[in-house]
Amino acid sequence: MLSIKNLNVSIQGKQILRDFNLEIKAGEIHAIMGPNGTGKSTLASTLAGKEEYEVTSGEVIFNAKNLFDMSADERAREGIFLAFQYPVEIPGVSTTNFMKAAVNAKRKHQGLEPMDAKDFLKLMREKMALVEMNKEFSSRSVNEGFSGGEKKRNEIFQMAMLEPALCLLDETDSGLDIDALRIVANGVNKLRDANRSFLVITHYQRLLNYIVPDYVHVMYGGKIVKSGGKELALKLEEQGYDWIKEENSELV
Amino acid sequence: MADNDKIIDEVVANDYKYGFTTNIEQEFAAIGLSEETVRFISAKKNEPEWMLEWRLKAYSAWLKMEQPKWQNVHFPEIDFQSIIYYAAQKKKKVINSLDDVDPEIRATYDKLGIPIQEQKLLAGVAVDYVMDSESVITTFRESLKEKGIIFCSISEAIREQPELVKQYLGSVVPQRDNYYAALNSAVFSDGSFVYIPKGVRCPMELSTYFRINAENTGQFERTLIIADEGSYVSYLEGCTAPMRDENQLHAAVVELITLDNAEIKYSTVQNWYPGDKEGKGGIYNFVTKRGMCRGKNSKISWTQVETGSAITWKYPSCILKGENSIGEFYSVAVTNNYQQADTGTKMIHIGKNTKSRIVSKGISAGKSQNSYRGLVQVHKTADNAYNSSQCDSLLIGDKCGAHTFPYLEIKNKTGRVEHEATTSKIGEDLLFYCNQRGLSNEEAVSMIINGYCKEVFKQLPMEFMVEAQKLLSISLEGSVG
Amino acid sequence: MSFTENIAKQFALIGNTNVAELRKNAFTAFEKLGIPSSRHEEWKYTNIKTKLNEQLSLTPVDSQVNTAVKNYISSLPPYSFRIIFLNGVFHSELSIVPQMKGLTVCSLKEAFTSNSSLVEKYFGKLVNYSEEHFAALNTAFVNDGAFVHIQKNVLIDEPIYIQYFFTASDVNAFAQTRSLVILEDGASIQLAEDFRNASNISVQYNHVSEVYVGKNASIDIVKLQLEVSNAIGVDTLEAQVERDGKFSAATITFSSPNTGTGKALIRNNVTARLIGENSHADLNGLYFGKETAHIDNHILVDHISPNCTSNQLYKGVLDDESTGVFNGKIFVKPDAQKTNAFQSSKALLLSNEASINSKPQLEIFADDVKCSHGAAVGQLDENALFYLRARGITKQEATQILTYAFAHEVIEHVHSKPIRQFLCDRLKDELKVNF
Repeated sequence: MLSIKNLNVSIQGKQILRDFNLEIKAGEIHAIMGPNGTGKSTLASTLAGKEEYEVTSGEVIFNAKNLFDMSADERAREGIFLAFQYPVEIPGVSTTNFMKAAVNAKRKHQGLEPMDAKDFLKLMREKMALVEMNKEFSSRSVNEGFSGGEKKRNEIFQMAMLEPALCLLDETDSGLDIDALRIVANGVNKLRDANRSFLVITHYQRLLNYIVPDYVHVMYGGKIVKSGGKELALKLEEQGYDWIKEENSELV
Repeated sequence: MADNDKIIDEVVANDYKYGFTTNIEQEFAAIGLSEETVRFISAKKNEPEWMLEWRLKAYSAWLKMEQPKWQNVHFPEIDFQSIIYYAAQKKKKVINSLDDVDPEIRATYDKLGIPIQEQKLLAGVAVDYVMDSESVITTFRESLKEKGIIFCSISEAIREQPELVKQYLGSVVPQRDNYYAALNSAVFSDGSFVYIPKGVRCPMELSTYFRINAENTGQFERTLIIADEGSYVSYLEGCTAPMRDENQLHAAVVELITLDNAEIKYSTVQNWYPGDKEGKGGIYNFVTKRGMCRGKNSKISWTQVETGSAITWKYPSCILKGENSIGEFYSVAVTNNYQQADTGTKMIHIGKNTKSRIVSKGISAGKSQNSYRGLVQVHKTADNAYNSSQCDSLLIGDKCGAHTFPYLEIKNKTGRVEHEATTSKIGEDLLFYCNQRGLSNEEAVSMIINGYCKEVFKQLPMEFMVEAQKLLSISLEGSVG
Repeated sequence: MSFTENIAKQFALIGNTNVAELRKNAFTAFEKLGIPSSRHEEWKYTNIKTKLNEQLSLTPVDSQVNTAVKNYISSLPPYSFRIIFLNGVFHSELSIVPQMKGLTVCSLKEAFTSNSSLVEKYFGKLVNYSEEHFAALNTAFVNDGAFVHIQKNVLIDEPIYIQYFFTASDVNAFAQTRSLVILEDGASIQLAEDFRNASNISVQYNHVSEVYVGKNASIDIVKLQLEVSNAIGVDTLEAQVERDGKFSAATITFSSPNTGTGKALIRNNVTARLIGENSHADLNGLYFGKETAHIDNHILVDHISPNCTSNQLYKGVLDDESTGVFNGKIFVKPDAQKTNAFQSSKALLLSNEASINSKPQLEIFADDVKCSHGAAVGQLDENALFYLRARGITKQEATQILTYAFAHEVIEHVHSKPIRQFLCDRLKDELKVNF
């Protein structure tokens, strides 16, 4: 589904990703871990199409299409969803209106008619229940005045609404207490199926107790330096990142 | 904290410390202003013909101009015919070394706390001393000369560096720019000239110390600083005047020019005599200061601490012409008793990717009026220009006023301008907290205000930061009960 | 005939009217003031002198009710109150004025006789005609307008809709219209004043509203300037608020491109004087500039008494070659301790030919105050745009949605529900947002 080959990315002339490679097949869950500043969030933002990230070389193929031929919104309509680390507040735009615009943009892309208002509200209710969101949030402005946990739940709710093929979770666990973490993880787990893939970016193993990955990768100095199964995450939890840093000191 | 403690300790006298006069024999131009006065000054300075013409052109422009009235300050009409436009030490001899300086003048600068003795000077500061209309001496000239840096009085530069002066004088502030700039252009008597050659980083702070001494005289100095490609200079100006019952006019012009990749940092600690507690006497400080970032990636930074003058009226500005050039303005203006200040800046964005930052802290006490007036212009050509302004006012007591008049004129859609201003007083809970820790109100206010102005003070070279903090405490004395 | 001669001749024709002395004083003041040029500080960015026609015709002409007027009236929500003026002349046959206890709504002309003591007490007492050019002209020449008086403790839930149509057939016509609104203590009311060019030639008008807000009274007033692409309009709103009173005003200006002769110039002066303790002013504005429109909002909040609060929120979206002006002043007098005053002005520039001049000012003479202003000019937040695009929304649509959100914040301040809904719909139309 997603194939990243020799990807190099810079921001304001500073190289962040170096010859980065990763293959994700349909239905797989990949976790990316690593210390601060190793390029994990850059990877997520680059895949989603944020403009200040400059791709200097390499390619990314998503469902047989060149990702870099598409703008951020085209990628989203093609099925890439980024759950933001810092979701943006949009005063004056209600969550309902926001989602209506997004869902219908995707339907139009698929050659479908805009969703009937009644069906849409039903869908909203259904998906909000998935992340135990109070329905009053639907009329509030997107993320405005939401707590950290509410914002993250809202991200997973939107993910459920848009039914993407590839979900990028950028430190979705940061700033969550244990209850919120469980709710968010449950929401994600309910969305797991044979065709949907996930790339979960996190600092801590904690999240991976709830969202059990098929593969764990450790990123350092802009590339993956170690890959393994879920046991790798446990090892990192126990021993920290120092041994990774020592093994790869030439990268920084 | 240590600095603050020291300041508070040092603050004992409530009065203007620099109010004495110096007894030296001086010669004056005849009172009043006419074409003859202009010719007299030019002749005294042994100026070349082109300079006299330049002055006369300014004089004839000035005659046709009217005194501006838009500023938020009030004063009786100035009689330009009752001012003496030139005053200088009479017994002039060629000064080659510090020993040649008249002992009275040396004593004056000693009393001001800035002795004219190179070895005793604060490390690495070259000073040009200007009293009334004449430059007294410029220190460290020789060591600067080795690097190709020219630091001398403007009179000397007119004689010795005619090409540079002709090219740049009036290029940023034209003769007819405004009423007082025109007046200055006609009658300026001295001031400083600085040229930093390509690629040179000036190894020491350059400084001019302005002193008004004579009675009934106006001071009209002119400063011109040129930073050639890739050069850097930090320049500081200080000033004091005797206490007199009459108002004295100070109308200076400062022009700064930076070429590609050059930077000028210009700091002022202005402490002209502010008048007495009843508002009698004091300096009218009507000054035009403007910098032009001509070259790409160049930078001009103004820092001013304004505590003196009966009336201050000045807007150190930046014309950001070169691509990626940067303008900065950091200001603390304190007014007490009957002082009036109308000060601020203009940031004119012409080049692409130009940036500017404005930080203004106004503090009004007593019966004073303190205004910030600023202009941010983003021209059509200035793609991606960015300005951020922060203008804060603090009121001490309920008889004073604080005013904020920013003008934002944006003509480019990629321009971003953010302006914020606040007005408040020192919170009672904050004062109480300090009282509870044993500080008197006066000590607490001094400390809080120094904190309030920190962002500006930290722009100043270290020695001057301490001086500025001291000044602030002195000028606010007696303002809190 | 010179400008002054022309005006003087017309003034002489007015004859004997009510408040004659006041009119005469106002006229004398105007003779001295004239039409301001851009050399006048308050008109620095708005050069109205070159836009107004040289020969002004100030006498009202009764005009035919055209189909544009009829169509617009029928498109309005079913307001219970509807007061219609055409070129400054009251049209009772188009108006709906139900009788209600404690409320008087009628034409100013009628009020001059039916409520002469009230009119004489209040008319012309708020505007500063000795310094305000257009208030002076209006006070001297105004012939008709709306009169609203609401008695002590009377609360009216329905908005009172005052519609000023201009259909000038004479290009020199400079319509002078006026509203006088008096709220006795404890009264409450919502009011809309709608200004509209219902013709396809350019019109000129000069409107003055005087609003008296009694103790603990409250008013929510909305100025609508939704069809003014082809108009030169000066609108002066002066309010005086007594103890515990609340004054809320929103000015909404759209200059949509329709006929576009490039003569749109709108100047709004809003002044709120907080004369009683603990009173409040809430002033909001939204403006959309298109083509060569010029929209100028001049705001003054005058804090005269202690413990008062004020809020200003002005937002502009400027496209094509339009220009916006924001001039907002917070004035705090020496006695007005414990004042809290805030002001925010924001503008989006959508085109490189558009421009904005902003002058937010503070003048503070009391020390125990909290005052602040913020002004920002720029473009939409890049992060928000990316967030929307990451959800599959096209750049164009994301821009529309965020512009809607930007503007909508102002409309949220309109308290009257039907008017707020009406404005929301208009905003969606304008931005082609469909949700």
